[in-house]
Order: sequence, then structure tokens, then C-alpha cells
Amino acid sequence: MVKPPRSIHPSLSELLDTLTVYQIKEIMDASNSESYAEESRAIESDIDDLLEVSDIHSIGDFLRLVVALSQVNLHIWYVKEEMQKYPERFDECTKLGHQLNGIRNQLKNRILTATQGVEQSGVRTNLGTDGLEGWRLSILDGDPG
Amino acid sequence: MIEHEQNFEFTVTDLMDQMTIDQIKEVLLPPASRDAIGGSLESLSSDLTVLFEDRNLKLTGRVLRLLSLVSQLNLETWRCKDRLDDEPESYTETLRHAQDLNGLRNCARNLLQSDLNEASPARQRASFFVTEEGLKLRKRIMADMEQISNS
Repeated sequence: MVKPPRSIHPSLSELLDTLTVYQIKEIMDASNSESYAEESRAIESDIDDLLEVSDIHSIGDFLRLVVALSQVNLHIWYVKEEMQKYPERFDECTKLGHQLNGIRNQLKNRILTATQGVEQSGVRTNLGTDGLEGWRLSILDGDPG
Repeated sequence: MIEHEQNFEFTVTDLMDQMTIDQIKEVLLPPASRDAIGGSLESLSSDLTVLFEDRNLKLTGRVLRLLSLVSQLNLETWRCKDRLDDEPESYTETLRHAQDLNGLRNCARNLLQSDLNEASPARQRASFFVTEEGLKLRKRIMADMEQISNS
């Protein structure tokens, strides 16, 4: 019996998000480095295919979104490290991680918009930053589109 | 003011690298600096958009992976510099680690220049590693990417 092709695929923003997380793990987790590299190559290829059919209005702004997403994921990684290192700060770190995750999801939605790849099912809804102060990414200013 | 034709310009790789550093500053520097940094990020974005169009550069998964790598290495190096002040007892160790990260970042920059057709011997960044761990890190992270670049 011929199986039907899979019909649900990760969006460009999901692929970029995963790529930036694997990039962190490839550096931080030496024992599984080759596995992350292999997965990253597969993601690169899928990103190439999606970029071929994406209509990106401003390459510069798109690059800013990728840079910001990449760094926010690394900040979240640092928060998780703090959480493990200082158990007495667990709750504080959990909240900060949740808040930063809101920024991360806003960035992912902007990437969907920037690449004209918005499908309602791919849009992230957990966008709240619950009073997070001191964090401003100007690429998120203005109309989210 | 004397008008003159500019002969030396930043490369696309320089601008992308600067974008990653400005993004760090926008988050970590005191709020008073942030408007200026936001303006710089907008200018970088505008120049990059123009350069990609004018030079017909192709955005690929690999370019984005290298950009992400440079971006995260710059942030990790920034954290090292903070630690130099905060943890003086491990100053030398942290400094060596930062040097290794900078070497790795330069490797990634050189690959980006190559992928963006703007590499030249003069633009090649020197990368050297001062610890055994740094050399291992370089081998681990860059071997895969350099292999693809040379194939």
C-alpha cells in the first residue's frame, strides 16, 4: 500500500528556530555534536527550498529577526543554566524564561509575516511577556502585520 | 567639506557581524543608549537589503546558519567580558575562552565572506586558538561547514 505523502511541514520560522537551538547545543553539548550538525544540514536544505518560494520584502529586516531569534534562544539557554546552578532562584528563572519565550514567539510570528508564510495554525499565540522590564527589541516595534 | 568618492566600504559580512553586536547592545546596554542603537540597526538593515539586491546575493540556509553562529558567538563573548569583571579569580581562564570564541567567530566570518562572494586575502580574518578545548571546539563546529564550502 502506497502511503500518502506527509502534508504537515514545519514553517520557515520553526525551521529557523530549531536551527538556532541546535547551533547552541552543537557548541554546548560536545558529546552529541555530530547529531546536531547532521540535523542542521537537513534543516538548511529545507530552508533553501522554502526561501525559493518566499517573497521577502526586506532582506535586512529578515536578517534582524533571525539574529534576534538566535540570541533570544541563547538568553533562554542561559536562564535555564541559572535555574540549575542556583535552585533558590528557580521560580525567578522560570518566570524570566516564560517572559523571554513570549518575545521568541513574537519574533517567530514576525518571521512568518516577513516571508508571507502566515498560516493560522502556525501562528504562535503565547506572546505575553508578563511585565518584563528592560528588554526591548526594536525590530518588534510597529505593526506586527 | 571635501566631497570624495568612497573607495573602501564595509563588506556584507562586516554589516551582518555589526548587526549581531548591535542587537546584543540593544538588549544589554542601559536604556539611554538604545534609541541610537535602534537607529544603527535600521541603517544596517537598509544597507543589507540594498546590497543583497544590487549584488543579486542569494539568501540560503547555510548563510543563515553561519549568521546565527556569529550572532551567538558574539553574545557568548560578551558574557565572557562581563565575567572578567565579575569573577576576577578566573580572569585568565575566561580571557582564553573569549580568545577561542573570537577565533571561531573569525572562521565563521571567513566562510560567510566566501559564500557571499566577497572573500579576499586582505579580508581574511586570522583565527588562532589558545587552549586545547578551543581547538577541539573549532574542529567540531567548523569541520562540517568548511568541508561543504570546499566541495
